[in-house]
Amino acid sequence: MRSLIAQRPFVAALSGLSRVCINRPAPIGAQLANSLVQGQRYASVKSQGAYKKKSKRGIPKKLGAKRTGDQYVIPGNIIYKQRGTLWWPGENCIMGRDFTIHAMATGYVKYYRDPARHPDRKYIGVTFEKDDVLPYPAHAERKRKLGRTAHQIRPEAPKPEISPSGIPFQITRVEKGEPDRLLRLRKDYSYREDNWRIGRLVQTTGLKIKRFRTRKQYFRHRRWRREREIEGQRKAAQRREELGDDAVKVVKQLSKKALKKAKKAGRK
Amino acid sequence: MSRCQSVARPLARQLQQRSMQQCLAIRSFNTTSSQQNAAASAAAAVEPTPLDLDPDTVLPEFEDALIKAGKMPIGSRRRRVALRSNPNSLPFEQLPYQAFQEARKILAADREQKIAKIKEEVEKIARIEAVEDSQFKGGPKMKATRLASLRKYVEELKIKADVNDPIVKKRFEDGLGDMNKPIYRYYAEKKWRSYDQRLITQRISQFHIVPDIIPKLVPTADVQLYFRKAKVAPGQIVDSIVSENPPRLRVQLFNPGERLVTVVVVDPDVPDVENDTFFNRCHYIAANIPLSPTDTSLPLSKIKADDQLALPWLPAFAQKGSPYHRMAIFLLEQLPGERVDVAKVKELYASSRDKFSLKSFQSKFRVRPFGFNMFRSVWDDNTAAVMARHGLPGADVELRTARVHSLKGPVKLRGWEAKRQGPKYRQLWKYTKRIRGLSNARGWTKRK
Repeated sequence: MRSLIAQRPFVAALSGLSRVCINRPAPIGAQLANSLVQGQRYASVKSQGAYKKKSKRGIPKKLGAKRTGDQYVIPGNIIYKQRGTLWWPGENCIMGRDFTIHAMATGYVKYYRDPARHPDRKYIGVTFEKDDVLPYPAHAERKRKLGRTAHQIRPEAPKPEISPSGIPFQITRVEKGEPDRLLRLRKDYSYREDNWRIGRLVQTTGLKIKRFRTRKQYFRHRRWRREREIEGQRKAAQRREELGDDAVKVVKQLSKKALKKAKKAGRK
Repeated sequence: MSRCQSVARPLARQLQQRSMQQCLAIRSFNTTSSQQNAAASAAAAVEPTPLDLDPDTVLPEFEDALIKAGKMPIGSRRRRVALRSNPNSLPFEQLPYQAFQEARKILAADREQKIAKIKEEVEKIARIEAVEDSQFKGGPKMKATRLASLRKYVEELKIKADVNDPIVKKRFEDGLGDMNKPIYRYYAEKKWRSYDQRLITQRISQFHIVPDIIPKLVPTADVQLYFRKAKVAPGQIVDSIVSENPPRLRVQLFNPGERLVTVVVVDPDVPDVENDTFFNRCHYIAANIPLSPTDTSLPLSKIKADDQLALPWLPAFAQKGSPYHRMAIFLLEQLPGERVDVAKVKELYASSRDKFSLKSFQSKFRVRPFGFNMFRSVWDDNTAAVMARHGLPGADVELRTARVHSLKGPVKLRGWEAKRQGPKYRQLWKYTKRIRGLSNARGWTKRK
């Protein structure tokens, strides 16, 4: 604040200079700029009304109570829309992620307070009976509804072995030296194995796909291998040292393939 | 090297040395081949050695036999192995560390002080008891209050005398504590309150046991639930084939003395389709069961006496489609020296287990709930078979959620097809009717 005040005389001097130099009225942009510098607005700017215009009406959010007290609701009905928790969900109600209160049972809406639960909060609840008063007594049994109807369980109809077209629904393919395969009748009247059974076939081959069962095992092996390598290199270096400089003649290690190739070339 | 490896290294080294020594010893006396040697050692491993019969040093493979014999193995397996390898180690209290021994002396002095205080207080109690009620300053009421507070103080001192003793703490942690002594009961209660008590109180409130079955319940004893030897956490959903047979309870009391106890198992979630509610059903009642802090096992299947078992175990079952059933197990304390009339219980509840009220049972037979545990039951693959085995009806009935119809009226259908349903568009019916899944020849339908 102090710095602002300190700058004031300097700003005034600047504006005084401008007034002296320029006599004709400046364009609006410059006027605005000047006014910003001087801290005052001319009538010509004010008459445009830019400062007084209020914002246009926004989109209404339609908040508030959607159901009054004692009104009948069914599960999922919205009882109250709000920003923040003006009201809290009480008996048979839940709060959505935008704080909307929904009914969770069929019944009658009650707006109430429950000092035993919270001293300040206002709750919205739904009771099964219109005459009920919320909150219910503290040690009374909860009032619950089953909300289910009883139906006989129909026994599952046995699937016939032969399809309506007279061919079996499934056949077994028996091949010597191979596991039996179950082929099923498809919609296009072809017989094909289930995809998940095909996937299982890999297990019957006895192939070892992964050398290590777990990652941990693999890393343990890698570390062991690397240690062995380092050990070998160390020993080789030691041997070289013992033999001295004349033994440096290195015999290049060749792979089996390269050896074979060299042999072939030599024969020619 | 990881931390646990570095911890176990000295132990492993010791074991290695020991096994090597054994090998050497065997070789010196034996001239047979190494294969025979191996066979002999394998045979020896099967037979329990005296060390394997000792709960302090038993190996994992002999634990079961020992537990069957009634002795619980002590401490961790690692500790037991360490003890085996070094059987003649110094007892804990004789460890040759100067600071340790000095600290022990201080603790011993404190204990002497506490015991002297106890003696003093006991004498004071005796003196007060000797005075007649009318002679006592403040009258008989004051005398009773004074005596009660003094006795409470003595109990406190008894605990304070031993609470700093490392040997006592060790004995408790090894499971060797004598629950007749106040200090071990104090430790047991402290342990229970640190976790299990909190868990069970949470289950009581979150499963609404308190307003639904009884108005008030404050558990004061540790009750654990076991089905088929396996411990079941409170509130766990148990397979119906597992809960077909009654469970075993492990009850640890924390106040002294023997008392008679009633066990009641209630299911408060039996669906009542006609009235669209639930009701309570009693699954088990047994009364006059003696319990004390020292005997903790309470297998419900072993209670068969006529003056104890009132209602035999009814397996937990839930009909298909019904919400989970809470099976609440209550332990109720009978008044001291009073027995529950089991014949009367049978007469009241044997004819119908439905619509059972624990509240009225409590007032009729003057019992007070002190222990609680629970499990849950849902419809599963085995429920139908369990119900058939016990002659329970309802396995062929399924409960389906009742449809709640919207409060709004039917909505007029929209769209190109809906517009062209009338006879005016007869030439288009081949396109607008018979739409698979939407309509049939008779008109527009909704898919089920």
